[in-house]
Amino acid sequence: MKPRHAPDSRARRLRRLVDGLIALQALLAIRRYRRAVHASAGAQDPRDSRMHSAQTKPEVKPLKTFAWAWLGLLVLLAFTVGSAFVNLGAANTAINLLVSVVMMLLLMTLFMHESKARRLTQLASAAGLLWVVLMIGLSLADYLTRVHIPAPWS
Amino acid sequence: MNATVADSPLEEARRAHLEEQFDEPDQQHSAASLGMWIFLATEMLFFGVLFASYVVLRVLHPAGFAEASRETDLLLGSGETAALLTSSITIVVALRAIKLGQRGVATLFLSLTAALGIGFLVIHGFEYHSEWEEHLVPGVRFLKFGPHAHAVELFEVMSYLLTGWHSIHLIIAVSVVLGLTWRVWRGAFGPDHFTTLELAALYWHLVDIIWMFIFPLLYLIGRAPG
Repeated sequence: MKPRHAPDSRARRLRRLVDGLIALQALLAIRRYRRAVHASAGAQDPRDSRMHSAQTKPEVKPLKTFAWAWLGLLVLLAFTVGSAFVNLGAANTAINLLVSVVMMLLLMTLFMHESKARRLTQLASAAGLLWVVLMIGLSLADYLTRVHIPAPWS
Repeated sequence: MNATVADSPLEEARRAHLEEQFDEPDQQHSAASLGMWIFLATEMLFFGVLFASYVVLRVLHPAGFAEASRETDLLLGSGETAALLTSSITIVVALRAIKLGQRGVATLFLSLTAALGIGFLVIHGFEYHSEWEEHLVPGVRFLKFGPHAHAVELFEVMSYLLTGWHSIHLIIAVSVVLGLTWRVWRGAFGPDHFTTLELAALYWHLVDIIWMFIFPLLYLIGRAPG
């Protein structure tokens, strides 16, 4: 559309700029549209779903994970044996047991499917551990708080 | 149910192994694994009692337990531990191989797992033998003098109970793995059918985890000088 007033060069330049922007915007819109069409077609493409469902083997962890876990377990073993030779008093046993717990968690989370198990399965394993902790905890609550009271005649 | 998943060849093959009381392979798998975990929890209760007895006796006789622990063979004990830790990795490598359909690799790694378990038992046999020679078998052949003689005997009682029951569990685990090795070799399992192997691996891990706690409690106390 032609402007009513005679366009000076500045107005014409502005006009050209606006036209250019509109064209660019249209171009981008078309590209976006094409991309969207392509994507939605891809999602519904039967070939894609066939590729997805052609799975013939369950997913597995890479071998590197197994190697690192093995190395980790052996390093933890070396650490726990080494720490036993440093006199730390009661902390020696605490460190040994802590290392054992770390080893156990490493196995449980990586290879015993605990991290993706059903809640009920996790509950069964947690119940076993909780029982052991309760039993040892309550036994210690008794034995550690006993006071030796000699009989009056002894 | 997702139609796409149902169409996959893996799901089709898994369905072929579906027992009649289950609707879905996943349901069957989680029921089996829940059952195994409940069994493992009862094993934890079983060993938990032994560990609790150990803790109480050690609290009552700390010096005697440290003295007795120093007499255990740390080198052999560490070797046994390393063997068991390694076996826990080899059994999951075997499971991975079965999931990928690599029957030969699975057979190899299962045999390796059983061999490591047998190696553990043989090393432990040597330990029992030297304890017999040193008169450290409580109630049967025990000869020890000194202020802590009674506490050392109690330690040995706990040591034999813990390692004895653990060894019995390991013998069962090794037998199971040997049986499975044979079945894997014969092609009884595959990417669509490996739950039995997975459950056996869970049991093996439990036997390993119990040893992770027995080892420091029997071999590592009273080692530090001073």
